Amino acid sequence: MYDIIIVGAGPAGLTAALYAGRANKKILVLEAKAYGGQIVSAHEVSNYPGIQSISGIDYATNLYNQVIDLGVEVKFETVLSITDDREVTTNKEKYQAKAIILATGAENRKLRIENEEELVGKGVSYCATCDGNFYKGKDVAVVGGGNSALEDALYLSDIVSKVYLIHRRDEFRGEAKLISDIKKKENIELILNSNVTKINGTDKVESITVNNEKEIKVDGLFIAVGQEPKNIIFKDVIDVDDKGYIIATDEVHTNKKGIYVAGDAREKLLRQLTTAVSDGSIAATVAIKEMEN
Amino acid sequence: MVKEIKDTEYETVIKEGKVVIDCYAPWCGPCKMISPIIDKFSEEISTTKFYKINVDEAEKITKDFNIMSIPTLLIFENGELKDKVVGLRSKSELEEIFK
Repeated sequence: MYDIIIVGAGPAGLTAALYAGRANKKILVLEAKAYGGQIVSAHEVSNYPGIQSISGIDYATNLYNQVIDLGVEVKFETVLSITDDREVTTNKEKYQAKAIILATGAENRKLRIENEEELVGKGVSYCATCDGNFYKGKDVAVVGGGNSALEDALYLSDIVSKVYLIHRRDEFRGEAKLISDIKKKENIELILNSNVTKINGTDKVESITVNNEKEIKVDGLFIAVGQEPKNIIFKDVIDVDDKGYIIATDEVHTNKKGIYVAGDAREKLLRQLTTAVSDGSIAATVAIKEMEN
Repeated sequence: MVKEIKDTEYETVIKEGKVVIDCYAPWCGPCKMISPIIDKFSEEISTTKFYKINVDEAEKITKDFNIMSIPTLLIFENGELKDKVVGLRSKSELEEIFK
């Protein structure tokens, strides 16, 4: 029997483990892939108070080592289900806990159009800073209207020959500074009021179709249309909102006793490193307090 | 540790048997997550040879196999490409692939 099982080893889950570990609780962290969560792909983190600049991978590794040094158990297993009685089933074993903290995070939202999944890594990308270098001198498209889409378009415009920035509305919702920077770039062409409806190509991206009619020749499509949660496996046990985010009215409690939520997985105003670690520390503290009462 | 090879060497090392090449770059976070997993496999699976290559210095392999995202794992059997695994995967997912 564990005191707390934490699902997810991103910044929220690992911070919860750090706080619970320091309270000498018996903890198990379950992670399906690798520690760190989404921050691992961040080239540079420069908005975390007290740290001028650090790469996402270094930040995640520091946090992971901090948790491991406390003696916290981390297992790389995929959680398949949880119950009201806080039994956790993974692809390998069943575990029982007095409390569960769900810190499953979010992932890049997909467009869910033809060929998208098939061509990931063959021209379809969700990370401009990771994959941009492979498109030197080529034409690419970026789809999205928020800050990440604008940042991606700017970043790519210095590497590639031409960037088509495609957005479904007639104006962007990103920062004004980014929008004015975009407008100054000669090799960024805006395609507004438009949706990418199809990706064409067999072994690699050859072109995209916009609004079911216009074909644009590109070698790459960078998709930056926000995030989506991965809570589908919990939805029979835990209340989620219409987008799939876990409902947590007072920041940490789900609708089930002894089951808490932290980080990007829950409905919240701002999904950042700062708010993820804040959630993790609160969830662990509240879980311990309620366990002892 | 998995042996690092140069762009000019890859065609020779893939010729015989099962070979996995981990295509990475030093600036890529997810690549750093997958490397220790590949290191483990290289100790556990003796029937497959594992190598890694820095794509920043390897134009030929990047072009030959259309690598457009990293980490990419290229899986060969007797010189022929059998599978191309793009992106971060868990150890158990890779176990299935390497079987």
